[in-house]
Amino acid sequence: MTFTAAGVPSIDYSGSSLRYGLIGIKPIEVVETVKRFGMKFLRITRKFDSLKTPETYSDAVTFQNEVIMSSIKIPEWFDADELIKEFSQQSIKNYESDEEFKKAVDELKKASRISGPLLSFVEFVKDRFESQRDQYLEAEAERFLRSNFPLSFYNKFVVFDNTYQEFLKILEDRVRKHEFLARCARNFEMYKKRISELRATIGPIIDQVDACFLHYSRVKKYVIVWNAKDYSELSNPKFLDVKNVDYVEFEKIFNEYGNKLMETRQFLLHLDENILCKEFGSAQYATKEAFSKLATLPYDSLNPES
Amino acid sequence: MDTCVLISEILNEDNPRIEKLKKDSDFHSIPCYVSDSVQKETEQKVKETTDFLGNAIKDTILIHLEDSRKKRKIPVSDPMTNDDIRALEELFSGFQSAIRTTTLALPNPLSLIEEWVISYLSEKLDKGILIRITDFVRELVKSILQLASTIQDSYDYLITFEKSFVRKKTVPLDSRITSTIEMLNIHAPDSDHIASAIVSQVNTSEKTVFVTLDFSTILSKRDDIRMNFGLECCDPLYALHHLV
Repeated sequence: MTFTAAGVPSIDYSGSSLRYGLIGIKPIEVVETVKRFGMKFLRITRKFDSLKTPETYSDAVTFQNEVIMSSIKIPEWFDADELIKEFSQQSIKNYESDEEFKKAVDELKKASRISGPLLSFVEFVKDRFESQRDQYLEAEAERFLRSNFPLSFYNKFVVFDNTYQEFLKILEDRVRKHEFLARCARNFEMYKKRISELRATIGPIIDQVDACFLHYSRVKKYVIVWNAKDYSELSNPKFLDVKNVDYVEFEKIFNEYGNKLMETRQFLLHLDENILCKEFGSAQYATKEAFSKLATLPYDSLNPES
Repeated sequence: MDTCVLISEILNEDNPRIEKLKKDSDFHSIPCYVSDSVQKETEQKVKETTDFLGNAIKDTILIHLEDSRKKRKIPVSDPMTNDDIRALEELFSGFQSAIRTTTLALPNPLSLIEEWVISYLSEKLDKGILIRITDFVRELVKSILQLASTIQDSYDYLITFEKSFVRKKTVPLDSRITSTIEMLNIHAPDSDHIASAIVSQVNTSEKTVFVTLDFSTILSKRDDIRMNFGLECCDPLYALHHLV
């Protein structure tokens, strides 16, 4: 995930939207009498209703930004409340203008129990994330080229992207299993119970990833806030200068993010032992060769001043 | 285990020597440990290499390519050609000459970057791909980011979460042992790694072997280490045969 307008990742609402899409729902049964061939039939449709009001997303991002802004030092040329407003509005704007996502949520609410709407929704989020991975990587590379932060700093965000991708795979697996069980339920009571079990299973997973995302977002916003000269620059500061941040505070925030990221990876690893077993792609061969030779050079070859 | 063994394993190099060590460790239930110092050095090497590559691309290659275009009065946004490869040749040969006059002919980091960058660009040009300098540089950074994140996955699997054949072991370092090792001309952090293995062997009273691929610094002095500290150092291929 990376920055687009207003320093907000284009899918920064994925965690929260998954929460509303999968946890903030309750199954409802609609019984209608329909006439077919002159005869009356009872048609029972099962749908999902939202437990939350549409404002909830707005509340959630505002709350997230409040937490972030209250936990970092703010430069004197900015007002914390204004920053919360700016960052939140941009997230809400992105969320509301995302027609593709809104359509997926609508389909989720309309769908009957036969077509596996929850799984379709997770698959939609996962496929979209995967199709945008290259853009996230490209934006991190672009940001590195317009900054003097080391490349390893940006790499920590790419690691989060990898982790998020694995999280979506785990979620897909859990939703597939539980939704299948729900679809096999004998009656509506049992169906509701199965959906409730699904919520209980995926809730802690989404909580963990959301908490990690908060730390991730905090590091990015901290760096942006200290490098933007005014509110208009919050979306895309010209240059990210490490000298503009208070190094002690930056290190603390960055280490907290690193710890949360490791905690999240361990949490996900307990759910799926294979998430970190990655093969190096053939396209990576030449880069890996160079990396390997450099990494095994005698001590301090890359850092002669130290 | 030494850092070089760990890095080779993290990079999934399928080194037959390490493969045999893993097989032996599994078959005979022999634990393989890494000390805190090895863990720290490995993390540092991965970070330093990532940053070194990033800085070389941004501060050296990009700037030189843009300067060369300015001198030749060619817009920076034009697609790259063989002239740009020749511009890089000029850059790297300048570095090589400077290095040759000051140091011995060891493989130097810039020559490794030169091989990687020139092969990467030449492959694009051979395929007839039109690429601008900014896109080329961004592609290089992306490839490092992608690789470094896969390396992090591999590192976490092997070390952080101990999901493979390696276990972490914290051994308090004894500065007296470390300084005695340094008298053999083995310096930190290698002296710390060896000292950890010596302390572990003494504390557990179990025969311990320090496994490394580093001939020049450690294996060449294995007799001295054995005589002075009773610790066996060997290539991973032979580790089992010193334990049974």
